Amino acid sequence: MSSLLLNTNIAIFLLAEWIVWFVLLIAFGVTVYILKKWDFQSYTPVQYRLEKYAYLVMVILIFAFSMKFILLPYFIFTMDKISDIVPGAMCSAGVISFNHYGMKLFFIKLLILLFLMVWLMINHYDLDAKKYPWFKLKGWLYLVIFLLISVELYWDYAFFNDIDIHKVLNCCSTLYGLLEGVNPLPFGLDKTRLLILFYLLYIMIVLSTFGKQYFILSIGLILFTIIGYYSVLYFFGTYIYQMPNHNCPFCMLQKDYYYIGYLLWGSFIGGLFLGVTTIIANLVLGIDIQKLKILMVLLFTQFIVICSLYVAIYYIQNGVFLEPVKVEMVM
Amino acid sequence: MKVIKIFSQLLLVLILSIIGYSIVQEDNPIEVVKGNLSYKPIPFILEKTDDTICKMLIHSYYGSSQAITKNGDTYFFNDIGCMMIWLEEQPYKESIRLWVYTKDTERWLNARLAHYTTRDKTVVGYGFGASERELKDSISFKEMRVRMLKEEHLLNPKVRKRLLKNRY
Repeated sequence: MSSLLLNTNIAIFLLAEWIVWFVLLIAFGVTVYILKKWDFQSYTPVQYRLEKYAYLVMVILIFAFSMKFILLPYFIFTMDKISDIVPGAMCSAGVISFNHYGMKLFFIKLLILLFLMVWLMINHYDLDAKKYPWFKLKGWLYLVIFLLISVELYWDYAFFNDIDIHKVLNCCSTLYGLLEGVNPLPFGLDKTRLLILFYLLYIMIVLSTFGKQYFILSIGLILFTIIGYYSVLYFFGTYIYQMPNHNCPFCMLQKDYYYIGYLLWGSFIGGLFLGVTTIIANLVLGIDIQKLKILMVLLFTQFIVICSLYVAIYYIQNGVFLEPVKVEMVM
Repeated sequence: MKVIKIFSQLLLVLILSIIGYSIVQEDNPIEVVKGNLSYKPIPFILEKTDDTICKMLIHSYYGSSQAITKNGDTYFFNDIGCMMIWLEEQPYKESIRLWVYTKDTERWLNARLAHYTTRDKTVVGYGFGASERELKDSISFKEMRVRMLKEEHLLNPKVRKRLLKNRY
């Protein structure tokens, strides 16, 4: 067992994850039982009991969602804390890339949060519909969520247990630094085109959301996931750090940058999740949820405003934009 | 509503056009050339070719080298030291053709037949310079390889101090 597991932050994190998993295990057993016996047409005491159990599962999942919502930023915060004690790492970037579990774990956490959000949305409209038309759908979805959370719990343990505090980790400059002559941007884009796409995609998402064009919205969200990430990493991030050659998605989550990364990435990921939930609500349930759409647009607007403000403020203060510095080797 | 729909469709076309145009225009440096079954050195494009190990662009033929594997994959290096590091990671080392650009005759030469001076100014700083003729204090390929493995090159501060003591 790695001594790192005795770190207070990691111990709290793993304990919280275990508690959530244990509670979800109860819900899992209950859900399997409900799915086997459920018959809405029946008026037997068993059916009444099952409906009460269904409320128990719902309460558990709301609790799990709240916990997972808190635990994701806490996971990143924990990695930041570990970077202080592990040699080489300057932020979460080094810690998360220490072993192959890191990035997988991060993405499965995001996926679970997305699925939980979709489950809550389906549950909300299922309860409203009186006849529970999507009861089985949400039951099966929960089983998938539980399997993912079980995998996540194992990866949580494996990830932290595998970190050797005596081994030197990579820092973010090594992981995300620009290689000479290599274009790190996707689709062969340069920075100008990247920024044009960044703003155009935002406008397209807003228009297609209110125009109810879900196919265009889906394409917009997929592209915005990629373009938004790279825009922050290779352009807006440099203004947050006020360093033209510092490209890291994690450093901005630190105190030195007033934890702005939590707000920035939170609004970006939150907007994307709400967008996906809106599309699923429309395509699967046939419901057009105005509130979700407005919230999604508000989150994306917040994301765009924060990014743009950093550039604007830097330009007003200094009268120039940041230009990457070419490092010449002195022999 | 109709105007919004048309406008978002136009935006989609514009966005996809920009992405498509960028993909067509993409111009990343070359890292490996495949299919070189003649096993002869390739006149690679300067400023457009990457060193396989240190990932820096190769700005000059001087000090550069190439390695060609049995299946014709050709890798490029801006410092002989980088090539030796790469070589150690490869299986079937003896089957790999190695070429170095000589500083005296300015041509590509089989690296195993070249002589190496140890105090040159090289891009990464390992200090090995290849020559066709045997120069004063030059060493063989085998000796150079052993020195790289033992980290007895100019990037090692102790070796650097010893080797450069009488240089100036």
